[in-house]
Amino acid sequence: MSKKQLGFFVDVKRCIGCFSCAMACKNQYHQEKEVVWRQVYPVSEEIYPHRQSAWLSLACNHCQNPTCLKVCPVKAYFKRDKDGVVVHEQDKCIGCGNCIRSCPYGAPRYNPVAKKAEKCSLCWQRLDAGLKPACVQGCPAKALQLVDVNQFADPEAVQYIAGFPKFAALNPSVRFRAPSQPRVIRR
Amino acid sequence: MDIASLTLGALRDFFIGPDAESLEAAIRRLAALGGLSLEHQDWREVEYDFNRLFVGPAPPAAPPYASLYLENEPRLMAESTLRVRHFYQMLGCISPWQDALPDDHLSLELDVCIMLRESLLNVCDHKLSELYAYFMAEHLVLWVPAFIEKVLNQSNLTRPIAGAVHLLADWLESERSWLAPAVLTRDLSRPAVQLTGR
Amino acid sequence: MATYNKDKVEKALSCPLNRRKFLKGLLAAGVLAGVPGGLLRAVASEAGIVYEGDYQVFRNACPRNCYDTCSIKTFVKDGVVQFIEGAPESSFTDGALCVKGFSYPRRIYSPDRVKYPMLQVGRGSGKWRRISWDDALNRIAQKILEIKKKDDSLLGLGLTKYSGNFGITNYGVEGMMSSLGYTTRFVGTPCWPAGIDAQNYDMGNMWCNDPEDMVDARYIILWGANPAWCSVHSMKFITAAQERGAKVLCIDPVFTQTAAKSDEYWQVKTGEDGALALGMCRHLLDRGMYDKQFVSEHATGWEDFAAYLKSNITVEWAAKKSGIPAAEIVRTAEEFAQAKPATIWIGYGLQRHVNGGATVRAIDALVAMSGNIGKVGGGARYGHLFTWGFNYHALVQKQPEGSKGYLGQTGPKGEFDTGQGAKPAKYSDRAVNINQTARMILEAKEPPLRMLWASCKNVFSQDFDLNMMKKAFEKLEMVVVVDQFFNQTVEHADIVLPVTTLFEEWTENVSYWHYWLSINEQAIKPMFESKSNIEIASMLSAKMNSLSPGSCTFPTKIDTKKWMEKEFNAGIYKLFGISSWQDLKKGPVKAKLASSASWSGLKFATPSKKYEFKSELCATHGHKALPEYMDGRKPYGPYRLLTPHSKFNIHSQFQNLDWMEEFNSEPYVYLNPALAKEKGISDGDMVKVSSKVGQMTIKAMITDNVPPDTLLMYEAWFNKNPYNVQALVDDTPADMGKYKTGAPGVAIHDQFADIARA
Repeated sequence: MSKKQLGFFVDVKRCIGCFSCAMACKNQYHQEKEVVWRQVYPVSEEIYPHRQSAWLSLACNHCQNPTCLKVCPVKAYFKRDKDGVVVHEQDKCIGCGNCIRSCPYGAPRYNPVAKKAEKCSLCWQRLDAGLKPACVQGCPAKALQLVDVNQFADPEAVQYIAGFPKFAALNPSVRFRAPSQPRVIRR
Repeated sequence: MDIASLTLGALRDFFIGPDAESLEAAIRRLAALGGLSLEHQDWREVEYDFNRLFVGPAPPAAPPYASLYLENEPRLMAESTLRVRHFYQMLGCISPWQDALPDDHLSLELDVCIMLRESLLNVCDHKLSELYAYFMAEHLVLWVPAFIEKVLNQSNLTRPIAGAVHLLADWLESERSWLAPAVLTRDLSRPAVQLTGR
Repeated sequence: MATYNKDKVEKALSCPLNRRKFLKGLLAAGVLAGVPGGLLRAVASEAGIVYEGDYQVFRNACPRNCYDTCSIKTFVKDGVVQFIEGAPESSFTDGALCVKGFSYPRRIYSPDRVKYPMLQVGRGSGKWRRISWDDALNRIAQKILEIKKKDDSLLGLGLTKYSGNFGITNYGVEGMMSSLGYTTRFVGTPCWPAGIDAQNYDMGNMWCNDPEDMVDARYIILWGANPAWCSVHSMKFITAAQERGAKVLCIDPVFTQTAAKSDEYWQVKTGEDGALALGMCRHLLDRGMYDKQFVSEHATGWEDFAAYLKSNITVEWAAKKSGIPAAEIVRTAEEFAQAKPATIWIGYGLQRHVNGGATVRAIDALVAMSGNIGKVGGGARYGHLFTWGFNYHALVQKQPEGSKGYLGQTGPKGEFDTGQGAKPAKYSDRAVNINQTARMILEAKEPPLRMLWASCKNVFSQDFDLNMMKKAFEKLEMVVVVDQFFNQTVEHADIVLPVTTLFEEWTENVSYWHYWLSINEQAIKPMFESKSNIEIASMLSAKMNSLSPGSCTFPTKIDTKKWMEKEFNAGIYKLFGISSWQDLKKGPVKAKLASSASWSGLKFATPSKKYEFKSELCATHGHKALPEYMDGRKPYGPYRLLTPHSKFNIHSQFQNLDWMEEFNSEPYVYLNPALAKEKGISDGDMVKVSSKVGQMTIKAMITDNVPPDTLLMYEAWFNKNPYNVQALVDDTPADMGKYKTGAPGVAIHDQFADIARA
């Protein structure tokens, strides 16, 4: 019986790039400007041939082998045993920037006011209260789900999608479904 | 009340003053206390400048609320605002505009300082002096200098406003010297927080 | 030297119990001095309610002009809104809001909010004075009385109000005007009037299916609508239909986000949707693939329509006009007719043309002849006002005795005007077309328009022909604007009055798309000195009556919560199956519909009681009796200019917030690579877009989402940015709209412009 590892299922097929998830996170945590925990990136035209029409909503991937945790000198990160959520304890953080430099997905961001790092901690307080993460709850298209990636068996789901870099050593706990394209009739 | 408290009182009334008349009255008091020189002034122009800086209706250039300078995300009625409300409660005070006006408006904070100073001038109470030192070191000096800098960086500042702000800076400096050396050597040089979009 | 123990102090501060204990100690020691002239007040114990750990939960509803009208759960702690969520009880909102709704916590507590009544000394000078409510209302009341004396009526006072706040009690603004006398009203709607009239001619009402039944459709055409941006909560029903095997076709001049989510996308020539629909009708007629029972038993004028199609419409012609190949038209028409049920979502952008009403009639006819009216999962979906049967207690106010006004007929004052309270009076308000606001202000005479009250409306951002508007405002003697932020209309005001957000007032909300009802509780005290619209009305009334007794009938003392209650009636309770509005505190409630399908009994509200392919009424009103093809507007410039809606704002709301700027930082004009190449424009270049009414300098973004003959700019108000699409848009009317909304619509998307590098 594999351990539970929570992560996001980003259904790019359903996703309409409405940014509700990103704003739901801000609504919950009121982050400093430019300290974005969840960002919605347009998929490039090379991959999806209509500008700004397919989107990757990305936060922290709560990797199975998180680099942030490895490089932190003060143990301000820990990975929860019960569900694999990687929590950042900002009180312990000394703002050294190691995690920010080491995470290839750019999840930890520097907060210039607090002079510390911070990142998505999968709304663990909400999870423990039996609630969904703010972004998952806040998606009107039902395109963002919280799944146990060790159990998630959707045949269309992949761990790496075009536009999302592959860092297999980290083993990011995220899954995607690719978008589809319409048949286009132009004048 | 000593000169410092009277000065503070006039500054308190200045920063909350709603119109030209009250701004003029506050400045005249400051002049009478010897804090600044009074020159011929179009007080209506001061009022327009005051609103441009502190009130609106356009986004104010330097809104005088602590939370905007202290919070991760500058907004009104933030966690730091409520801590200030709790501080007042602990001293048996409440803002008469609670919930409508953020508790951390500069004038309300100057008001609590006056109260603490006055109390301490009458009697030497360790608890009170500890509270005053705490409020000064853990709150006022963390945001008021940034606010002052924001104001002084504005162009075309009318003289009375510049004068009032300089007096505020002077008072803050003099009170800091009263705090313990341990506090003074703390790194109080927080960067002036960029108010978003302003 | 003063020292302190940080931990000790913070422990004492940390909870009410500790704070109380500490205070008790201070009081017992007698050390606290009073301060004469101080601001802070003494209180012996903790005032107010404190919720430690738990939140106080309130129910609210987003009152914006949006299909989705979300039900909101608001979490308050220490009297402060901490965060909000979508209400889980509504299967439409289903727990989620949108990028705009989630920015509300920033909106309530933005330092940029208009906080106090303020007076601009010299309109446009930027020199503002803070004044008291009493002073503000006194100035306003004096002006109103002056107008009354000068003109012997209040026709010189005008109200422009539209959709900034759809909370039902906000119709108290119109009520306030009525309670003063007969005034000038800007009537009509820029939004959807042509389509409303069209659906009224065809069926006797605008009445769409429950959008949640789209899951049952087998074919969905999203025609001139962009729900992926403008009705995000509807997308899950469309996606569910797709997962069940339904086909979704998106028809739009622009490749929108909705197009990307559809199975097929057609880049129709702008304004030629009517030709396309008629082409499909002609093909179905030829093949006999139409509902013969429906057209013979439940419709009139079918024979005439069929004859028209045979003589005037061919698929080849439709292909030429619309740009869609004949083979596609044929195939799709047949798929549509065979799918049971099939439905068309008729968008509002589609009818913002000189032929908008005619176009909607043609699309209605396609749905009707294919037998999809009155079917679950079917229907010609446009909108409804089915759930809006409130008392309109705030709206209905009496003019003071002896009021003089306009002598002449007026029609409805807007799509929400049900004629309640309208008696066959000698006098009436003077109704002028809201879609030609600038023109109306300039042309109004006997008396001229002297004073304008703008509420729930941002005139400069939303009304057409910006340059004409600037001239028009010069004529106004006093401009009063009720608003939350310093937008372009406030810049041109004499007095701005701060208004409450939804979290600071009591009201109730329904949608023109879904069938849910929400209560909107007052969750927090109004910030600074903001007041709700009905509070402003009652305060104005008090001031008017103190200066001139009997000059205003609006109640001078109101309980805003009771006014929320007064809107409910037995009809609403029955429709929603509740016994009291209190039930709504547990969450939003859905109307108890006999069927999710409108017109399920096929008993239409037309004169014939049938679906009218041929509408004599329509002809009487100056249009064609049949849904005949109508030409679009002749281009007066080289490229079509489209100014539709963005996902980041509702008109001029939300984009100005810094939270929104983080995700959408600046406006663009979007153009096709071929056009860009021709003009030597690269991605990110500054360009000048100019039309016959004005111009705008803006950054370019290149994309083939836009056809080569089209320029695209999204209407929005960016904070401290002069960007304004109305500088480019003129006020040419749409064909229909006067019947049901009092004024024709406006051909917002029939605009033409040129572009060059700046």
